[in-house]
Amino acid sequence: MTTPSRAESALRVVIGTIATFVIGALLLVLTGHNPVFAFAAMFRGAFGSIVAFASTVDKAVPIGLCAIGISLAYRGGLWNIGAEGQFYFGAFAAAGFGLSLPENVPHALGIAGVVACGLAGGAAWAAIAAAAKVWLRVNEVLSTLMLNYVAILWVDYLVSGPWADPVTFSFPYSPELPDAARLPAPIAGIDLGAVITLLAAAALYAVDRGMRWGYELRVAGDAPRAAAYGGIRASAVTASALVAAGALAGLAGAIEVAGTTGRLQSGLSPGYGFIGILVAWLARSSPLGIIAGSVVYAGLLNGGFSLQVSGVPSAIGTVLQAVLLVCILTTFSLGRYRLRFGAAVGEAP
Amino acid sequence: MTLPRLLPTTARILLAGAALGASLAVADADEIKAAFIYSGPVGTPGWTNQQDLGRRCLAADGVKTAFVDKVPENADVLPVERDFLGQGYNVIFADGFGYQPFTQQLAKQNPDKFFVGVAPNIAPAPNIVDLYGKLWDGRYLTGLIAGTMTKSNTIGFVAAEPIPTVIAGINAFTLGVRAVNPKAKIKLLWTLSWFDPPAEKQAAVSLVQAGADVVAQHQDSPGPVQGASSNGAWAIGSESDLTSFAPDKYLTGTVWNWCPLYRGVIASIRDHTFKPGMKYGGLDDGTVALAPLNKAVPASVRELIDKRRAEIAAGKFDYWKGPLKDNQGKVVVAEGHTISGPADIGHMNWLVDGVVGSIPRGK
Repeated sequence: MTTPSRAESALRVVIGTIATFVIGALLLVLTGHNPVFAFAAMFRGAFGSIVAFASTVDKAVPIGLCAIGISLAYRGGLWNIGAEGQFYFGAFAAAGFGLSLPENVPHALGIAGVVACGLAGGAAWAAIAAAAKVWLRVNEVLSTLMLNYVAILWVDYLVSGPWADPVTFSFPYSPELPDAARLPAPIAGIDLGAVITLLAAAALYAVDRGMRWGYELRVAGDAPRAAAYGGIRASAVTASALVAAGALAGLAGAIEVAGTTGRLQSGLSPGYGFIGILVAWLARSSPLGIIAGSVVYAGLLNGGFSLQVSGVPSAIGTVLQAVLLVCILTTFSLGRYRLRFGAAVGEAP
Repeated sequence: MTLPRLLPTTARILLAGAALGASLAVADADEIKAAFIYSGPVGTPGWTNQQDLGRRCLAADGVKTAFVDKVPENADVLPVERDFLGQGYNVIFADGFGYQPFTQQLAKQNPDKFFVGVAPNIAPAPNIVDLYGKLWDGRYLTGLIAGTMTKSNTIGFVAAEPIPTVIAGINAFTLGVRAVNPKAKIKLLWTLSWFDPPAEKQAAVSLVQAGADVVAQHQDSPGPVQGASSNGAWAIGSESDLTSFAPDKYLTGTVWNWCPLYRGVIASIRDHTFKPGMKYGGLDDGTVALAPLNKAVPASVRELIDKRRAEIAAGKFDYWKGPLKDNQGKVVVAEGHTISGPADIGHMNWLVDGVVGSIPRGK
């Protein structure tokens, strides 16, 4: 299978998007809703105003960071199903740092600490699965998946026990982080997370194009024995990619607590780590595609709520997301085939 | 789909479009448009559905309303509230406790709009009021029924999360039970989840197996009612009228009726008497009500319930009056003292004598 050119990819996305609109419109008409109203409402909720756009970008940040990490691990042939848990563990580490800050800490130091703790927390959580992979040959799909639940329950425990805010009547919230640990939102309410995500995408591009580590990672992922022959320590390289993936997801968690919620809470993520897997697939792991895909997917999520604001049931919004996914994946899969007309069945090629 | 079936649909869409255009034309700048945001699903019995009945009550009064359901109690609520505000909605009912910190952010940015949440209030602003009901008063009444109906003197209680309002309900229920049946014990099980139907049902089944012949609940699903009734025990529900889930074994249950509080908020905005803070309804205004009683409930108990309901509503009867001991034997309300309303309830962290069980996570 050859990698499609950029033009071919773009064409497939366009065809897939058009198919989504056609199928979506059909579904809406069948359920008695005006498709023009519905699509307009979705667009309004996703990109219709500066505040809507800022909300969408805020949501695209965690999705994008998780997807970049997942793609990175996938370069090395590893499936990181654990971005959700790494997100939570990064959020936990960042919140722990923020909550223990003394007063009058410089803002820059606070932010640097939150970001570093998010990276370290996510990396540490992924390192468990990476170590199990390297030394015990534990399948990373299972280990990363299972560790999700551990991390989510760990945060649940903290916010309803040791870190519970005494004034929230047992609602699972930590106290608010001090201002020094909060991410500034300089442009139209869009916080620094957007910049960090773009930097991460650029780093993924650099891994693909220039870095030796990126080359080793791809060789180790595609052909471990060839990698060994070439003097590449395949298991160490791929394990480091999984740890880096965890760091990015953990960073997303740190940005969520420091930029959006301002505190650790249960139910912090509406499944960003899992949506990241979808976006990584939709984008076929390309950095530019991930940025576009995460903004579109975040828009679909926000737009889905706006559908309801306009009176269309929430289920329709979910169905439209699924239709988009199926259409794009289908156009990419079918794009591998060439249609030939006129050749009889059974004729020799 | 055939063409003849499509045509009416198309016609309806066109009509809806025309109606929208017409309503925009007559829209008044001061008109109240109330938006509702729910954490659970609309349409199945439970917490969210009762709130939606409150919304429909406003809609029946002629208030323009809209809703979005299944919004997680995290930052996801922000874009939803912003979109409603952008669409001209000027009263936002963010009907989940966990929305409060996010609602507060937007309330501060939109001082000319009104925001309504679920009490107790942890994130105040001059344009936020949080609502709740003195649910425990209703639980006391259901306790009177449970205490009368039990033969085994063992009553089960399936509870969600160990937060003060739930704990107060368990204690009030127990005080009701013991008022008519001092020998009865209340076996308490926690599911540690608001909505987990299989776990709730299983909890009820295991309580019946442990000897309970009446099972009460503070949960969002009819799971405990189903689990108890299918094993021959009486059931006492919560949130919605659950009669249809066990017509023979459902004794009654507390039912939320948000209509009076919602109407009060809208009226206060209309006549410029809006007060921020907290507002509690109760048996007096009907915010907390009981579902129709099972015909097996004897007339004497019905009379007692009517009497107590009227007395509690009028503030003439106080079941919290000391001395009260917790289930460790420690005096928690001394002789001559009582629990004075929601402020005290908000710190309740003990289980009253008669409850077999404990509060998890030691808070």
